Amino acid sequence: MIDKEKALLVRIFSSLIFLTSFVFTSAIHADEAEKTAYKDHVKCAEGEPCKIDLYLTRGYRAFSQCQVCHGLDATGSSFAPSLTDKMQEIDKALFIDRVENGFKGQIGVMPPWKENPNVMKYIDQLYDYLMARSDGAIPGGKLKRYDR
Amino acid sequence: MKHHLLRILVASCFALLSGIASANDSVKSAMSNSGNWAIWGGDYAGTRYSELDQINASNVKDLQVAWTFSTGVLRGHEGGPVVIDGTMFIHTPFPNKVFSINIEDQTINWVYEPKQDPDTIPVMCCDTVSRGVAYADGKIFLQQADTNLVALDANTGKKIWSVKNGDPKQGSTNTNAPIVIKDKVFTGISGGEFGVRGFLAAYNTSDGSLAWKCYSTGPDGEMCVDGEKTTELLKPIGADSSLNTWEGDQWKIGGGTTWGWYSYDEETNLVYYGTGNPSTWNPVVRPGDNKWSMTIFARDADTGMAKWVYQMTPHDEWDYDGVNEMILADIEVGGEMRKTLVHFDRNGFGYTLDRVTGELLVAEKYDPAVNWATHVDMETGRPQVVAKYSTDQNGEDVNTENVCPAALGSKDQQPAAFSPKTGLFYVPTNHVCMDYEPFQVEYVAGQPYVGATLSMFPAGKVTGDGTDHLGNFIAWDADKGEIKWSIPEKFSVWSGALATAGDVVFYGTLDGHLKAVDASSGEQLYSFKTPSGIIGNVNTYTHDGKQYVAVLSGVGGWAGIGMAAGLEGDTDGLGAVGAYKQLGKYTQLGGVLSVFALPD
Repeated sequence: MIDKEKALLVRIFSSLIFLTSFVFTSAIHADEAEKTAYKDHVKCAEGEPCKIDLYLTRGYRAFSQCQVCHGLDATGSSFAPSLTDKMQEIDKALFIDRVENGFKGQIGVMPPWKENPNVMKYIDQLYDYLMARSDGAIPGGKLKRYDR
Repeated sequence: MKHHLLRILVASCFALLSGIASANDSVKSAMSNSGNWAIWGGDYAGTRYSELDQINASNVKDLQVAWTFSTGVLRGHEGGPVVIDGTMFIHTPFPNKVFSINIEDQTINWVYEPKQDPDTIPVMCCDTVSRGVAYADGKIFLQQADTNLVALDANTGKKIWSVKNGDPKQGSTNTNAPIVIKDKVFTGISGGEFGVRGFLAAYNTSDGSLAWKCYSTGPDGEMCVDGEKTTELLKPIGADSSLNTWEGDQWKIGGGTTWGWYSYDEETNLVYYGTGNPSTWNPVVRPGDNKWSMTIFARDADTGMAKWVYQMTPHDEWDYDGVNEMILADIEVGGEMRKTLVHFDRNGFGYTLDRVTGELLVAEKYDPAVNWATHVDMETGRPQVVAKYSTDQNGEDVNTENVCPAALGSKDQQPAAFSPKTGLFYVPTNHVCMDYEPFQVEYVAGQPYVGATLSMFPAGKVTGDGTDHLGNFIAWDADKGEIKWSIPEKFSVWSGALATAGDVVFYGTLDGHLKAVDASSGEQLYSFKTPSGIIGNVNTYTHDGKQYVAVLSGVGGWAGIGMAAGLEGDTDGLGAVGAYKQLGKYTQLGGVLSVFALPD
């Protein structure tokens, strides 16, 4: 957890440096906003597990299709990589492309999901859910809702 | 091999002349030699018991590795090799290679590697496992992942025939080992998480033509049941027994797949197997008992007609597939010798039935953590479901917490063993519970059709006994329905057991140890760490009069993902994070056969 917070701080810090350099400012802004959009859907109180809303729950449900390979908590398995790592390496556009069209990895084959409404209808929610997992903002497994 | 050919010739002539169709002479003859391991269960009854006793409780501690063999394939290696008269046949996960090994010098006689469409891989729900090949009449029968059932020449590895058993584009795949009875080879189908409709099919061994195919769900004719003659707990099941228990056409995509093991009793001429979960995992959308998912079938091996059925988990709400092995044993039940079928179901109950009539004799929990039902009503055979663990009564979008067992079951496909010497069953088990939340999903052919999210964690979180282990290896008394002894294991025990006349029981662990324990006390006598986690089944055979024990390592399967459960650890109040560390800390991928023997 501490490592992840550090990583987050480093990322925020480096984006600040970029900001002051006036290079690609708006692009990075958009990129960072995209990566942290989940923050509007997570509420954490001191001393208890974070809660999420229906929006992010839909992402978790879409993730149930991914669990059989990527693990119940997205940390991967003996035949598919950890998504908590992978989400830090790819942007949203590439994420959507991989989900839609599939991908052949080193030890596994990711199927194309473009014809699966249970995933594609909630692709934004799925992305935000996995980014929240990847940033360590929420633990794996089922989470309580704060909006019901 | 000459001997072997002669035997086949003699057997076929005999069959021709006398017109007697026996259980399959080549299989029976191969099985009768205790130096062989001729079929997945060691025998048709699926006992996984061997008469060999050179390796025994007093000398097993001296066991050494005799030789090893790498399959060159990663991912989950389930099942185990078949040994016939000095030749070993080793199978692998996708791409489903088969190696024929000359045991004398461990040279490779031949390798078969099918060309399969890699698009099959993503349609396999829980890793690309295969549970082995079958031998009969000089042929090796391989059930490929892409559903092609193939007959190979056992001497050359050349393909004799191939038949398509399903369509991966519709979500059908195969993981099971076929078996051969008389002149037919039997196979099932996987894809319960893709809305595939389950069936048992019998193909003629001579040319691969379909003899019959009997579905798990649907109209009576297509299921090969007779409303008046087919019974459940001794009573006729009546007409339209399946259609009456489904709403609309849901049965067409309603699962009941048949990816487990098949056993056979020559005396009754019945083939026994179980059916899997009804689709989808969301029980709310499929009111009714959803027959005949989650059912033990006893079918006539010639015609496929069902003599009796027994549905263990009517209207499944937890994914407790009924496909686990059926062990046919003659044991005393209530003071009387009975021809029984003993079955350790995913739902956590150990069942003892009369295999001739289908009468239910015993149904007790084989893991004390099991909580979804209080007991099985012995009159109706129905489990008495506890309301707070009913994911249907709690409804869609509600998280039902702390259900035991988890969807993995108190035991999955990894087969148990039975020793007629001790009268005990040796059962590899899971000790895992779950939270389960069903929700609405849409069906698309060839796409996953699941409809529930779940979390899994050690049963100790629910029982509150302070333990954090994920499995047990137990000895079971199928007469009393009692655990005799229980060995806790850090991870689920996902390997098939072996019992021998040497009073030793063998099993493998997910972190890669082959273990031998005393058949009476459960005391550990031997342990050796193999190259990868073990989800394969332990076998034994002799060569030149010396006994060997063999097992495939190669971690994967559903266990390979199941173990990622609960890794966060810190929110579940147990505090013992150590037990949840990824399996990856203990073992890595890799398919290797390890063969053990006593020193000369």
